[in-house]
Amino acid sequence: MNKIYNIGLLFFVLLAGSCKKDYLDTVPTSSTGTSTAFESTENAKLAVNGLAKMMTVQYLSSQGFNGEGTIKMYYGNYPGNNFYVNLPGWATLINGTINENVSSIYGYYPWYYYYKVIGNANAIIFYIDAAKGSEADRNFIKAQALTYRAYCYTMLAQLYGNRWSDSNNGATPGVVLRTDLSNGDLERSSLGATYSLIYSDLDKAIELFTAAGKSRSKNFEMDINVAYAVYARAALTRQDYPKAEAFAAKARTGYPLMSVADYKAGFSTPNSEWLWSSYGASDETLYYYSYQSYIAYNSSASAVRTYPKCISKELYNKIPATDIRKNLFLDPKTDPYTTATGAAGAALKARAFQLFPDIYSTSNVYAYMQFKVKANDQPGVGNVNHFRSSEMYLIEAEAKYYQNKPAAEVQQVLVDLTKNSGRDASYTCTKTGTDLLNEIKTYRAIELWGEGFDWFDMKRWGDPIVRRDYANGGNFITSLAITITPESNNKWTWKVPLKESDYNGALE
Amino acid sequence: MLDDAGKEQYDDGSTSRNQFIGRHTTWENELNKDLVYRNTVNGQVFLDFKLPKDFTFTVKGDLNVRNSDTQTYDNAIIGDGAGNQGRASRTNYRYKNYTAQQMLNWGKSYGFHTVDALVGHENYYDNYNYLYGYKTTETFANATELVNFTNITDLTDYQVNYRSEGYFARARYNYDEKYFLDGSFRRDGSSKFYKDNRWGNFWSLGGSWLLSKEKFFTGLSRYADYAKLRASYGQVGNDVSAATYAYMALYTIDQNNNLAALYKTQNEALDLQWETSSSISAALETRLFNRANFTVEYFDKRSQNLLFDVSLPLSAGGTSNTVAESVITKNLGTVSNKGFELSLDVDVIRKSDFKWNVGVNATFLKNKIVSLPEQNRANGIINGNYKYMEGHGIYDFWTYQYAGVDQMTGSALYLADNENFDPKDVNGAHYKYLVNINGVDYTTYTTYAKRDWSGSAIPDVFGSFSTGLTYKDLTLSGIFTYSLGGKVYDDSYLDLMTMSGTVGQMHKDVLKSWDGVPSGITETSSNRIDPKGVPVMDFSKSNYSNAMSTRFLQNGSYFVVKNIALAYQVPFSLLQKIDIRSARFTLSVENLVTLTKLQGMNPQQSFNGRSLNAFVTPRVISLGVNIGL
Repeated sequence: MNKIYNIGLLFFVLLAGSCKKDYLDTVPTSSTGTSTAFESTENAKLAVNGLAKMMTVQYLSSQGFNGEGTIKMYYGNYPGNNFYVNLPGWATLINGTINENVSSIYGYYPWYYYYKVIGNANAIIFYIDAAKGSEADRNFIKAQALTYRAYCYTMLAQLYGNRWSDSNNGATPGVVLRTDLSNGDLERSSLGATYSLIYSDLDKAIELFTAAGKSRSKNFEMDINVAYAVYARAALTRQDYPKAEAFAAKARTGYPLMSVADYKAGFSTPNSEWLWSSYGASDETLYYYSYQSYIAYNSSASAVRTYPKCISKELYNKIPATDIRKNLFLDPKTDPYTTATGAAGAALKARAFQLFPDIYSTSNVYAYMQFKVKANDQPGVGNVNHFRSSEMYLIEAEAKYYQNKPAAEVQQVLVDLTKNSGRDASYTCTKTGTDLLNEIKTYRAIELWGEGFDWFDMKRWGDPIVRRDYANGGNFITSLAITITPESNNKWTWKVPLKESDYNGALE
Repeated sequence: MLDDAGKEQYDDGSTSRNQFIGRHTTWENELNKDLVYRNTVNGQVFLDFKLPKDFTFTVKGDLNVRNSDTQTYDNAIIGDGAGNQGRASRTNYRYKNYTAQQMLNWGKSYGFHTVDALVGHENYYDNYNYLYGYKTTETFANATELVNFTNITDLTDYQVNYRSEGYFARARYNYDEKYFLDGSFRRDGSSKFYKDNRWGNFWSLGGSWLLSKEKFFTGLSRYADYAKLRASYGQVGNDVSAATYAYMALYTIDQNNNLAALYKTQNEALDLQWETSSSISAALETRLFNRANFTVEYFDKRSQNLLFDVSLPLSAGGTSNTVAESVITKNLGTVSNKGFELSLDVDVIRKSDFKWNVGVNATFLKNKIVSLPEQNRANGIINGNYKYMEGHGIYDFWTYQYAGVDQMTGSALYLADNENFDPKDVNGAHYKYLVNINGVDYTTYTTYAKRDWSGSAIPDVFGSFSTGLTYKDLTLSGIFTYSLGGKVYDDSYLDLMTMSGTVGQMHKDVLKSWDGVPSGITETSSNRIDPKGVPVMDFSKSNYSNAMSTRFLQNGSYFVVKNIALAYQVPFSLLQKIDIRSARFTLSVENLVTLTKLQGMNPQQSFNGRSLNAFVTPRVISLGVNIGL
């Protein structure tokens, strides 16, 4: 009797208290699982939107790291030939001497950022075939993910691989090519293999875009023209000129060059020639992290107010007086400024505020500062362009030139870009040979200034960066007024960061 | 600076300086607001049912509800809020957690035998809700309420739920208050783990022996008044190091163009299970000569199946927006913390009006990784400046080996990594950084330098002293802490030794920087390298000179005067006259002095040997009067 009583009591305690079987099954509300994300094409579209989002996010708790805008600013503009900012303290980045530092944030940021996008694109590519929905939707989603992956590898190859002309036809190291959900050791592929993957991803994407027959509704989304544009840029860096020319022409079809009015509208809102961009708006602001917070002349961010972004004096002087770009930078004319740094004197400052009253009130003014990029809202809200037709024209011109096509054909592309667009109604081009190549390079520098191409172009061409201080005819502060030869600084090739090599046993 | 009315005002810098224009710490602090409101409610219920046959049934519950509401306001005139014509945020946390316990107790004594036992069940529920909103463009100045702002820039809200459940049993026995035995068992489940691996079993066993109660002890009673031997082994489950939804693959819900945007933030870890914290200890506790307490204890505390975020190659895809890492949570291996702890306190003087007590405590600790997964055994796991390897501690530094300053050039020199970068390969990118001095290869760039074991952050011994001196009505007491033998990686010192292009504070050691070739030093001088030197101050070389290396590992030993207090007890005879029962005056100082080899370092900041910019423990001087009526 006692025993039964005792045992009964024991069970009573344990059972009365026990929780329901699902007591320990809790689910998050701010995230969802893989199965939900790829359950249907409807949900997978949100994952594709996630790829777009990852290109414009506050990263690494460090202002200035914002996704693709950072690549443009810190990797394309700052270390370039024609972009001046009075930041001698950034000499290691601007003078290109930090690219061998395997533990620096600048060394691992692109690797981190692009592989984050690639990893998510790989998951979409892996899971989409099983998602509920129409075949057309699945094709459209997969095509977009493939194009993202190709784009990211194109950028990684330019940063972490040698310039193609130094690569012994692609034999030098490229990057780690992850195309599945693996997360273990994986060898670095050659630069040639890297471009092969980019090509095959884009071939597949073009095929799927065609099969899907769907069109996008937003400029930050991908469609077949974006795939063509990525192809053109990749082919150009790979010195594969026939492909570059062909895809550049295809990419810009349907995207006519913007009007003069649009050109002066601040480069923060999509217009007729924007092929692909990242979205930005006041209710999804990146605050002081954003691309515009680092460049837009009207921004209230201290990165702009204290250190306005300027064009190099030499490039500015190459812009004809009849070109609309002449007025998108501050010509000091005869107004005095501190020649060591470029800081404007009172008269120049007053003139700048008169010309552009929306310069933020506590802003510094510098000679040759830019008025090309403007924020839509404070401190730096705006869309960020990644591809526009003008670049495609320039790719076409360069690709034709290197294929030794008739000079007249090349000249015509430049005339279409510059004269027929109204950017310089007086523009003519009769140059040939090396002069013609230099003309393409000059107009590329003018057209794409501040959009993150500068360093990438100089690297691709194997041209030295030559920056001059005031005494030597330029506007750079002395510590940034240097010459960087193509051979120096590990041939401008960033090293694979420790955050990869410490955990990837297949790397040396 | 004067305003239009001729009154003094702060300077926003727009016409007077090149740095920090539009910023002003004092001004911003005066105009901005940062307010936190907290409400906390705690409740407990406790019911004992006395049942027949020495049984007691107990129901316990406690409930904790906490709300925290943070309001920030950045003004529209100066600082971060100026660009958006003022801005304000609201962060609201709502926490609710409760524990419910049901226990059945039974206890009985039979002569010399005393037994008690317990079985029970408990569950824990933890919920928090987070709400965050941000608006810009103020209507009126100085109002923090969100209604005062017209543009929404951020608005979100989510909740997090964690639960656990456990069954447990315990039994204790003692014989004549001389021999003690106890044992326990429990089974716990956690919502952090996948349902197949959710439950873990843990047990403990302990015994003690009161030597001083034994007959044979009477012969020793001249020396010792009390002696006890105890030994135990115990385990508890630990899921704290695992994230709330640790086992799941997670896609965060972000937004892009007002459409949900999903991307991965956590890798799946279905086989994750409880970490077991086990502890073996054995101790002797004594009281000697009726004047000294002495305890010696041996311990070995182990974490088995250590829950750890293992780094994957970054190319596997980042799992965080704030840290460049790709991680997966795993049960990694076993780490042991073992050593001895000694404590002694002695009444040195014990007279009626003069007393002096001294106490000392010391812990000798060894931290060791006992086992790692098979695939990590050969090469270990690098974790920032540390490396985990069997036989080494978890806070063993693994970093570049600083050799000193090349007195010919002022460059920092590190031991070259000849294994990976052939010193004979003149075409290698590393070659231009290679310096051969008297037959040894050095490099000026850590990228091409060798990493190696560089000591541990864990001290060999640490502990405290205390003393109390009472003379008549005055008492002077002090507590001192110390630590010997650990290393500290001082980030703050690195910052202060690194020059940037803009104005900033520097350490006075910068003055010792290399400044030209000292006389008598040549290419082949045996003392060409100055191991204690400071490299040339040149911010374009900072990338090379001020990299993380053994140069910034400091001696972490310290001695701290934690507390000094002087108290005066006013004699009763004096108080009687003014009709007060007691009065006591105290003067105490906390954190009076911290002595370290590198002055100003805060070695107590963390156990892992990192010292970052942070507020140091405050020095508190307090004066107290305590009157009893």
